[in-house]
Amino acid sequence: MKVSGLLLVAAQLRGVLALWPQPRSLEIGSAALKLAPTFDIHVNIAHPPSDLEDAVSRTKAFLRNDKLGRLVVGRGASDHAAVQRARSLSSLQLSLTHGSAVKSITDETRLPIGTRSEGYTLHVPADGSPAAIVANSSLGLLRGLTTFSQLWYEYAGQVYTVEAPISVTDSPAYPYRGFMLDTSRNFFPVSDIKRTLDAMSWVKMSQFHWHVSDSQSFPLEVPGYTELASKGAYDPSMVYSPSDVQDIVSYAGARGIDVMIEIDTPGHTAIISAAHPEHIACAEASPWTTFANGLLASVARMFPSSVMSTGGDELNAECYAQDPDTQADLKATGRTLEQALDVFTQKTHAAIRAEGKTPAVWEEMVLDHNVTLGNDTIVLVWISSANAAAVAAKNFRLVHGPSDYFYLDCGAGEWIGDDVAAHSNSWCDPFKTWQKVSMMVAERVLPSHRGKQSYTFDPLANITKSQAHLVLGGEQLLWTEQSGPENLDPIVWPRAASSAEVFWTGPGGNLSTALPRLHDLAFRMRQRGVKAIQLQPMWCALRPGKCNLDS
Amino acid sequence: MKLVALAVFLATAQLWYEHDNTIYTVSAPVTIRDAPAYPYRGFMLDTARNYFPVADIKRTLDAMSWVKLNEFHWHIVDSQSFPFEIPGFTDLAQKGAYSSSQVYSLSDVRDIISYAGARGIDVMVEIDTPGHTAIIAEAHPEYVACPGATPWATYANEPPAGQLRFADSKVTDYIAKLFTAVATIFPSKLFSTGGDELNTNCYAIDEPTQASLNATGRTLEQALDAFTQETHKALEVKGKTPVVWEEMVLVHNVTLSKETKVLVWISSDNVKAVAEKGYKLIHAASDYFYLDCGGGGWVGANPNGNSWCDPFKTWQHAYSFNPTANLTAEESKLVLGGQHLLWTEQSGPQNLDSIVWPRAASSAELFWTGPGGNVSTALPRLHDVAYRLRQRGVDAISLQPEWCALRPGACDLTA
Repeated sequence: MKVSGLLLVAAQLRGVLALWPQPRSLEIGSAALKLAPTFDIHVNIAHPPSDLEDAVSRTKAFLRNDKLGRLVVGRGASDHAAVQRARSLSSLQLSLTHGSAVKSITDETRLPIGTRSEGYTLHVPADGSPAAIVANSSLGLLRGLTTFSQLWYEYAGQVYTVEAPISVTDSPAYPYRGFMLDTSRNFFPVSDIKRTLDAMSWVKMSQFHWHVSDSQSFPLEVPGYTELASKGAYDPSMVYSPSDVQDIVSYAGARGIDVMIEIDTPGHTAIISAAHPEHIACAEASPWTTFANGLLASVARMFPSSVMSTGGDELNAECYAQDPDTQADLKATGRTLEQALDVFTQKTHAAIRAEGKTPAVWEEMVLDHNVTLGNDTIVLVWISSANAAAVAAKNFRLVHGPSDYFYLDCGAGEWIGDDVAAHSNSWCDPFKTWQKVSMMVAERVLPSHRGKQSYTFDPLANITKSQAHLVLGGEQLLWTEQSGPENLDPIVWPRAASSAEVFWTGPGGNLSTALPRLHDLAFRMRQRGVKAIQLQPMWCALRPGKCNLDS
Repeated sequence: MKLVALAVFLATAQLWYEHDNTIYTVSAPVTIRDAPAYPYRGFMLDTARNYFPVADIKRTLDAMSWVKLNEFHWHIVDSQSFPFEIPGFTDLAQKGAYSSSQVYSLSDVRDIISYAGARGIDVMVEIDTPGHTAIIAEAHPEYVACPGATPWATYANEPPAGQLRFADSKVTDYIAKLFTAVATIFPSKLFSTGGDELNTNCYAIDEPTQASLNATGRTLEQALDAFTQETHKALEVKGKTPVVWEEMVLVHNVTLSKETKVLVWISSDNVKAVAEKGYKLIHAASDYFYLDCGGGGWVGANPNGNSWCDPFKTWQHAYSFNPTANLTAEESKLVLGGQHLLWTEQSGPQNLDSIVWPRAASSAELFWTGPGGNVSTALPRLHDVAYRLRQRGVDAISLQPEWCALRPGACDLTA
């Protein structure tokens, strides 16, 4: 991360400008600048895409309604005099670089991962002359608008910054910056998912990994397979209809978020037995494979993303050892379970490839099983951060989702009943703090970093230079055995923003200066209706640096 | 009689389900004879580390009443903020609240007290002294030792450092008057003066304290004794019984009235020691009843930090608590009951309901029904409580996948 010397000086004077994720290149000043009552945003594009115009409207609404007081004692009272005298900014101009194609935000967002243009430059002069965002795509303009909306505070009816002029050149270090939500263990209404997509977009996340089904419920109404939801959803009101899916997918696309659906197979499918008892505990038998192919293909048609996950985690061999049908089929075909799994996987992956999707799988499909996978298959590393290197060694593209750093559900105790032992903890205890995300490399690989308090999750730890291109990015994950709409916002935010910064800004951040910025983000999220949790007593949020371990 | 009627109302309000616009039970006939095992069944909320609007407190009181909790322990002020507008001492909130809108006015407090009372809940306010008082320095720097001293870990349990100069008689008078003012506002017989986590380094570096001690020829402990006696006397004059944290009995050498109640918090292991000294006690053990444990370390620049009382305390764990463990029959009579507690360094209105409910209901049953409940059959009942809480607008957390909630017993360890 490049941070200019000017920024460091300003940081000592009044705290680091509270942007999240931190732009990759940022220069700030110390002049007060306020928004004119006539402030407007101009899109200098002949026929601007409607989702870009909507993004402009949303940005203007944030500028009016955030009403966030700066996180200092007095909440900005000390800025008042300077703001009264300050220049006014009347306009923000959005432009595409010469020769850029005019695509909608949504279309750019759904390009294959690694080919999307998300970079932008942002200039806010101190003298009141127009601010400008320039990008190669509408998506880049959206990312710029997102940064722009984080610059402004409010006091006594004035919307202002005290750090003009501001100059940003920004682009993401990694293309896959995600969040996974499990909507199967407990159900989440569409409005909760949309609110989550909003929050994700505010920290420039690009992938929503939708773990829609699992053993406990099947809420997705799949055309041609509606019995799965009618028998497998918790309740007729706890489903996602095709129009709900379209709604969510387009809401996401307009916010620069691609939706990767996961239908976890062949494990995690007990609920399918509610509709099709004949298909369960028998992943390889031909009718099941045919069934699965049809199901997966139908799901693939509901989602425009180029990626779809077929899961593949935690396969329980004992289940199959005890299943007479499976044993009979294996004997009849002369196969081992692993061979049958290989056949199943090849067929189901072919089915989704036929729909234009690239498959994504959990790490066991590469590290534990002997299945044939296309070499463009994307692998989600979840059991441990230590496994990323093994996946890279097999030359697969990978997404970091390690339980030892990125699982948001850890630390809330055991959810299984009748388990009273004094330390009946969650399996992945302890709770993974936003700070913990920073220690991934320091603990694992680089002795020189051990114990150092640097905000440096290294996505390339233990990965050779020639393998580096395989790392697409990463995501934090919420498994929902013990979560629901009631605690969705506070358990996800602002913690999930920590990986959003690691994968946008890249490693090398400073843990101490990150905290005030993360407080700012959490306060702004709450102003915008997302119930981010309190990271510390408010006393600490108003006094950057006073509540560190060594303060 | 009115309280009995309320209890009956609440009990019957849990009997009914709804389907197709019909309200029904499948358990008729129902005959209940009920009475609580313990008189103190509480919940403590810290409104100082983070502020909670009145509406959040009222919603919490509602939920408490639905599980027959009867004591709201209001830890209203602490080192980080002073939201309480006390008549005659309004500068404390003026200078010490997070903002002018994050306060509890006199009318707010009266509103909360009467809301609670109508729901069978007594409100025990706590003005924690002499530690946990850094915020008082905003209005009265002359009353506070080591305000904002660094490194904070040397002078306090958490930032900011700062504790009352209790060796100074002016401070003692001030607090006595403040207690009197607060005692006038809260009708409960119980009034907590706190007394936890006193840091002696803070006083070792404080010249005024050292000067006071030298001038009067006292040790710090003797000064603490004088401070405690005088401030507690002010409460007793107002008909209040003081309630203190365990250190005032186990760590310090202060003279306390035999009527003083003691909150045992550091560990359930300390209950015996308090009982042996003959004090009535309230269970508040961090190893069972602290709702905040398990949310990671909150201080900054500490990436490997866990909460000090890790791990998270599940409802099952709290439910297994034995209020009279290791106590003799005589000592057992000293147990008034107990409470769950929410310290709010990492909590606010956004997660209040989900971090408290339905876990706090596990102690509600423990102290109403008595210990020894069957944790297997309790789970479906607790699911029911959680679902009913949600229907009534309290965002109780999901204890398990809904699949499990609909199939009692199917998600037990040995299912």
